[in-house]
Amino acid sequence: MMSSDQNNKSALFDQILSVYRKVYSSQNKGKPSLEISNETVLLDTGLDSLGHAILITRLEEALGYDPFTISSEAYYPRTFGELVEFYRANNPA
Amino acid sequence: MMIKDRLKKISSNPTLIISNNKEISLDQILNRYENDLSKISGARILICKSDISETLSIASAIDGLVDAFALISPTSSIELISSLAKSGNFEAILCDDLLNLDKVKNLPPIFHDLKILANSFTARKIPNETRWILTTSGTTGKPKLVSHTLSSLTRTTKIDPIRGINIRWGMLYDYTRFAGLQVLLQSIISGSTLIEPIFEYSLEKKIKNFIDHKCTHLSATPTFWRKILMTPNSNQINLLQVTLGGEIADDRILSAVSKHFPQARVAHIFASTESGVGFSVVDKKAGFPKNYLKNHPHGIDIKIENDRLFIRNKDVHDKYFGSETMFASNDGWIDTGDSVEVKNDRVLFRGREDGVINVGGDKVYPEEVENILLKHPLVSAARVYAKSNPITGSLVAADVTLVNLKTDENKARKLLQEYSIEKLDRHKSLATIKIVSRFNLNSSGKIVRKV
Repeated sequence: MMSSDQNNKSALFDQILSVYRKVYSSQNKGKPSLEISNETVLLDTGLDSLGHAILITRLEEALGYDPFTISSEAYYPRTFGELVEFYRANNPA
Repeated sequence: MMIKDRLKKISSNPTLIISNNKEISLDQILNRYENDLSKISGARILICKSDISETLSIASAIDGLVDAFALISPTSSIELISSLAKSGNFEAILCDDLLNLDKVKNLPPIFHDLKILANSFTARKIPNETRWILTTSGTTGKPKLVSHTLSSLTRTTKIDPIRGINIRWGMLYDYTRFAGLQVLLQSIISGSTLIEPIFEYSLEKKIKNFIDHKCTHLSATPTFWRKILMTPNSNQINLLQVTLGGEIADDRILSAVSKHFPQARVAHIFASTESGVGFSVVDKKAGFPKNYLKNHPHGIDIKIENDRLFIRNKDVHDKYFGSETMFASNDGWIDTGDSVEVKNDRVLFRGREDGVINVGGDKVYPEEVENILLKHPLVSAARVYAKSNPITGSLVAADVTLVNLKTDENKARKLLQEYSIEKLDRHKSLATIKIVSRFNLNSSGKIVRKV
């Protein structure tokens, strides 16, 4: 059984993934996105810099916060799992 | 001093360039054209070659002989090459075979080999100093030709051959552009090694190439640095120098690169093709120290007038090459177009005075996006501005008032977003849209741009 922390993490993973899929599709003429796991390297997900920039704006709309502004640490996640963890660790709620 | 003489001064470093894993020595660069090229004296040549070492051999052979040579990106379109050849009044084009320029009409004669090109000319007067012509980025219009000389291009180049031999610069820029040429010249004139991965390689492959060849110094735009930080293994490049240029470097990226490369000296540079290298800042903080306004870093004059940054560099010309259009005032001041603010002892960049939004290095004019929005039947007024973003520096955002106040706002936002993607280039499309009920207007009835 998953701990409640793991549950929260996977709910957040799904939430971020769903936004990611929408952004991917809007940036790639409606094509569905590739399979994504925690280990997927962000720059290999098929989104370029501009795509990631848009993803962060959409995530701010969907989740109500931007960890890049909240976090005092200047950090750039490299994998999808690191991105999810960055949003989890900096959730102001 | 000509580039050939500068190169002859360096101790003979066995490897000057590592191009796609192939080592090229100083002797190979200098000895490629040993024939007599004197017939080329006084000519105006446009060079469009993809191979750095070949171009370097050509430059070493003709610098000091020809009146001017232009370095044009091999990624340029045929139309652009043709228009630059015309506006700069060039007499011959030296390019790669692959470019297929041979069949284009109204071009100066095309050559693929320098020796054959040289033999087609009759020698004229040797100039005092050959002009090196570069192109501006052209993100806001057609690229323009800017005249430099080897001395104006190497004004801030540090020459320390004893240290230089241990330095390995990585090339991430197009070497024909100002920033790329700075990296190339800095590297070779100090007798360092330049690592040049294949230009079309993915960033991951380029980074692997830099790790394999023990790259120590790297220069890129803040947007590119963010991409480097997001690439796994990038911290395995043991960097001693991180240089950021071309866009405003904020505190976040400066601190992120410092943490990622703890051994590195971090410098952000203020430069443009027109003004040359203005100054560099090495204290890892955004903006620059206020005392630069008095202390003339690198012999440059800097002033702020109406919150706008001006630079004066006595080494550069005030007109575009082949044109009467001036980019400097009569007394040499170049308006950078950057809006700045003095806060305590620091001058901070506040964006562009003309409202231009920089999206990951690509420029966006708000008016262009506003005009497209105003054509949509739902929209009655629009104000477009920059929204800051941790990946691209900025994205494009808009506040919009709707014709019909009863329109569902969420639906309107979605429709306008799709509309902007359809009508505009990707980087210009709207990242966020806010529906507002009214705008503040200024005394002339225009929407107030500054918030």
